[in-house]
Amino acid sequence: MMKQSTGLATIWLVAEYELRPDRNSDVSCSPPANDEKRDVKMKYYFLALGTLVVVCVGCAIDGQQVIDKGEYHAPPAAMLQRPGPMVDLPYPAIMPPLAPSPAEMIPRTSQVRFVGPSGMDIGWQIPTGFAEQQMTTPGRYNFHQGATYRLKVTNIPGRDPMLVLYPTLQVYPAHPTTDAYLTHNSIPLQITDEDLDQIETNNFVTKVIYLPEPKFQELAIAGVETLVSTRLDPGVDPVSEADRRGTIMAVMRIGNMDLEMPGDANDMIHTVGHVQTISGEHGQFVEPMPIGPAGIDSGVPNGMVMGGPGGPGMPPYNPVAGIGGVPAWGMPQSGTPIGLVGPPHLPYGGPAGLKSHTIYNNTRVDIGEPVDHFRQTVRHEPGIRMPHPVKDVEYVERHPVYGPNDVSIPAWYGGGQGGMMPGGYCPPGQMGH
Amino acid sequence: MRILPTIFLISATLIPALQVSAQPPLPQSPYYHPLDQTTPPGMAGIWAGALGRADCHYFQPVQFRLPRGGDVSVLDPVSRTMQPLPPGAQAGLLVGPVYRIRIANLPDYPGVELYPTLELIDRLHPPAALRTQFPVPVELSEDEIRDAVEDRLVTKIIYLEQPDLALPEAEKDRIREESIPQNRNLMTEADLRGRPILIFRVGGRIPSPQEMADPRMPPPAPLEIIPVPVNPAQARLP
Repeated sequence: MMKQSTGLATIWLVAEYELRPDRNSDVSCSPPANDEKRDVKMKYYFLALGTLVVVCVGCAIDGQQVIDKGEYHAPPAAMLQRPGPMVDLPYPAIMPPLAPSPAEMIPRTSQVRFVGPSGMDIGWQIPTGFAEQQMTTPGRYNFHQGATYRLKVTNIPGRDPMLVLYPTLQVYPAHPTTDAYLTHNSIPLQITDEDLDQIETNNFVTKVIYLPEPKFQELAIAGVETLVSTRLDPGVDPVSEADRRGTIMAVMRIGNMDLEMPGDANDMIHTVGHVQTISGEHGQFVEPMPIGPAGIDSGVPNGMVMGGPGGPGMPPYNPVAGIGGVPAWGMPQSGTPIGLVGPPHLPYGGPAGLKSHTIYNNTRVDIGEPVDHFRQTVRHEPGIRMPHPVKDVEYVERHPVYGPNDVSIPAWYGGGQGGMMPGGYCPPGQMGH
Repeated sequence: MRILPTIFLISATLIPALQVSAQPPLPQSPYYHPLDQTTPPGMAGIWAGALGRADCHYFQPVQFRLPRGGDVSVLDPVSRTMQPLPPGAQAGLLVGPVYRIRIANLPDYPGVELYPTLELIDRLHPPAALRTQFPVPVELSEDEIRDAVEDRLVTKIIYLEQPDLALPEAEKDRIREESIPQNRNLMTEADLRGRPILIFRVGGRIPSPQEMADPRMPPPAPLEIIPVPVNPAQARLP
């Protein structure tokens, strides 16, 4: 506010200074033509003055760059955990590590609590197949973060005993906003009757468990929320929606596909002959095997191979016309008596009658030129602003001044007659006396 | 007589409204606090150590109080064993490390165990001989225990109140608490009211034995078990 007033006062002073010559000319009884000129000049002055006032006041209200509000914006907590690249480890390091990183103190597992339905058996995929009945709901298990697991759900109460579900469970890596929660709490996961109805009617159910953004929470207790795809509007991605509302901790996807259907062993997981059945019913417990990563490591996608040749005798994968052995687009596959690909429109065993074959491709193609210089501009809102380092310290230490008979010696000091009491206070500078 | 009044500032409470309304309205903090209640455990302690608040020769006594009794143990980060704390005993903890606590045998929750963490970010400065006379009290109410059992995260910051902002009322059997919504920075609120001393977090997660034996959580740090004084006069000034 002080800066706003200062700015306005400066503008008014400038205006007064510019108007003075005209005022003097008025006193000197100038001709009427001069009055008109002066009026026009005055209009311009006031127009410029008003513009300046509006611009300055507007900048003072909206712009942080004009008026210093005294606000500081540090980088996010994830950035503040480390001094930054080229400063901390990995090398080159110019700053020794102060202490183990907090991330190393946090368990790398997320505890998933299977809430219900109660009495349901849960198994999971292991390297040799499926380990069945590894736990019964309600129960909890520590899954490694950043991995996807394939579960096997059996003996669902109130459902067909033959109903077996194979959901996938994505356990997301811990985030600075979820570390505290995951260290002290479990992730509740429940398959409701509504979910089971949807699955049995051939629908695909996605459940996303996330920790809501604290700034949107009015309650005092930190709790998780679950987004179910069947309760969202059509077309809404539950993962994106949960990511918008908070930080995702786990995603469970359930369908009714049978992964152990007999008679189709080639597509099933049991492709080896030495399959050993693992069942918790017999006291056999095996750690689940991650079947893939979970979470997002980087926002930049890796390079993608668009196509390529397959193995000998195998068709190419991701075929692209004209590349890797794939016939060019528009090439007919006419035969010849000797088994090779013949020219277009060559009738088998008859005379050639085609004299000309022209193809016009009128497709409008606008895919842009290849990028030679790529520039990316990033901006963090609000910007990072920290208090500047202290460069001037003034230290004044004042000691009380006592005259004679102003100071009394404490009794525990022994009256000042021959040293201290054992274990008593030792004034500075008298050590060893 | 308590010469070191402490106040709880908690994120999950059912505090009577009149207690909160009795507190005069506090001004908006003009400072930016990069730490808040969602900061990963251990980070505030590391920062406190980097700021010079840690003293490797001073064990800050901490006393746990449960509403209806129960067993409290502290995980010794060095030996990886649980050290039981008899009722009235205190645990001497250092500023900086994260300590894991176990609360068991709660009368209303048979078979339930809670494993909160405690992180000292500052210490008290009583006379040396009165160190155990003024421990930092960590109290858990029945509502907080219920919230933790229901797998909700309760975060408490205990601070030493600022004398000119202290409520001019005598302290009752429990120290005063305030409930702060999640959308506000708990560390900022505690800093407005005084000097934050420790962060206490409790939820429903049960650590696995491998997790408890993992030297990374918490890292090795010394621990002092201060037994209940047989004669209270022993702890007084000579």
